Amino acid sequence: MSHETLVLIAKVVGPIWMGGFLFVVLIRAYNPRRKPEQERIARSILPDADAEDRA
Amino acid sequence: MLQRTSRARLADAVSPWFVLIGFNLFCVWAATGYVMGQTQSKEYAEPEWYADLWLVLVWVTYFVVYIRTLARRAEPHIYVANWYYMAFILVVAMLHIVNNLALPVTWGSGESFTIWSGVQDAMIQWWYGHNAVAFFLTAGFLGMLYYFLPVRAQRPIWSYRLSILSFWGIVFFYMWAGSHHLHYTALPYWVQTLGMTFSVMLLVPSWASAGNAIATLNGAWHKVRDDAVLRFMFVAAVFYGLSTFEGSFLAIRPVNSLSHYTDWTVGHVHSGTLGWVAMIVFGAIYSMVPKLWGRNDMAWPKAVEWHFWLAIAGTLIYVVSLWNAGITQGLMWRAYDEGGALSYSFIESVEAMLPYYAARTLGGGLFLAGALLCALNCRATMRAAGNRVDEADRPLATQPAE
Repeated sequence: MSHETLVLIAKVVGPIWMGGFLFVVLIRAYNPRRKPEQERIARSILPDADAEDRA
Repeated sequence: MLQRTSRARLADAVSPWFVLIGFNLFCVWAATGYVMGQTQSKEYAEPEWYADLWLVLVWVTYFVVYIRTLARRAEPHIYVANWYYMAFILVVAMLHIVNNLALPVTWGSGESFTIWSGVQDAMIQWWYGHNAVAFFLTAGFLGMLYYFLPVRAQRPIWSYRLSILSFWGIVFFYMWAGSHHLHYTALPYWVQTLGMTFSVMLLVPSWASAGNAIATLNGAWHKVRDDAVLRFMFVAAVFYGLSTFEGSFLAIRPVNSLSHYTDWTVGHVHSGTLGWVAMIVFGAIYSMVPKLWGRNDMAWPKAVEWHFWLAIAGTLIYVVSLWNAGITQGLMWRAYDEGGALSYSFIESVEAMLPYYAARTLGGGLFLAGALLCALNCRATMRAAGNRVDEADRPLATQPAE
């Protein structure tokens, strides 16, 4: 493989792979169905969360 | 934090001690190497191969303990702070191993040669160096911010989904930013431009994290006013936002032509380490120490307030003096007279630094005084340990017999 081909792959595949992965994260993180679970996770570290879980 | 957010004990009793003692042994080995002139001349990666191999052993053990503890968690999810810690441990291992690939001259010698050559060596070094800032000096501290700030403010993080997005944004973008350290060098121009572009893009996930932390305090500003511990965390988030903005700005090629090799860079790094990293660490210390020693508060609550203002004053004086020093140096070095000769000798630019370095010493002194006060306060708190047992505090998952 020539140096130029390697550079072309690095320039094209790298950003597309990374951008695509970030797009998947965006879709998954902002899926409305995940919101209740995310709110529960965010509250799980608060001091009164343990008591709520046991109730 | 890992144990508490996972509601599980550490996976092993011995290996955490190996990690603690082993890492400190590495630090001693690295420091003695400097004194004896045993370094491989790589910034932030000076220790020679014998110390590097030892660190690999310690760090892999650290990762194994971390993953095994995470695997036995009693929570269905992995809280976002633990993702940051995982990235910190994993990426630091990757960076350390790749940048330190070297061949010793002989097995009996401390000297070695890197396997990377020429500009590739420079690129690997700054891929390592900038990601050391990202994953050694940022990721773990963001983990602290995402845990201690909501707990202290008693409010959930403003947007959990934004915290996920900014985590992956930081992981993806930082990896490409290192080449901004090599502007105007033999590195191919497009690689420099790539690093500059990703450095500017980094501002988005960085400000998402800083903004998420500050927005969490909405409705709790009275606590920020009254509680110096929470104020440390708030200031840390503000400095995180400021220093990441400055970092993106300094990575832009024409700005870098003025700032590079000057004390502006040093000021930028201290805005991050004193204003962001140290402030969140102080917040975490003041949150944990009373809890660990069975007390409601630190032994000297007023000293926390004093520490806060010493730290703020020290950081601001330090950073502002180095901004001035760096821009003065940059302008003096690029000033030419009518005949095209340099207007100032290098030693004249050193002499011009006197007032700025005096201010820097004052700022550093104030900051250090605050840190000493913190250490004494911690000692007093430990000596006055209470026997308070918080019945509602159940960090571990309920066992079947209960």
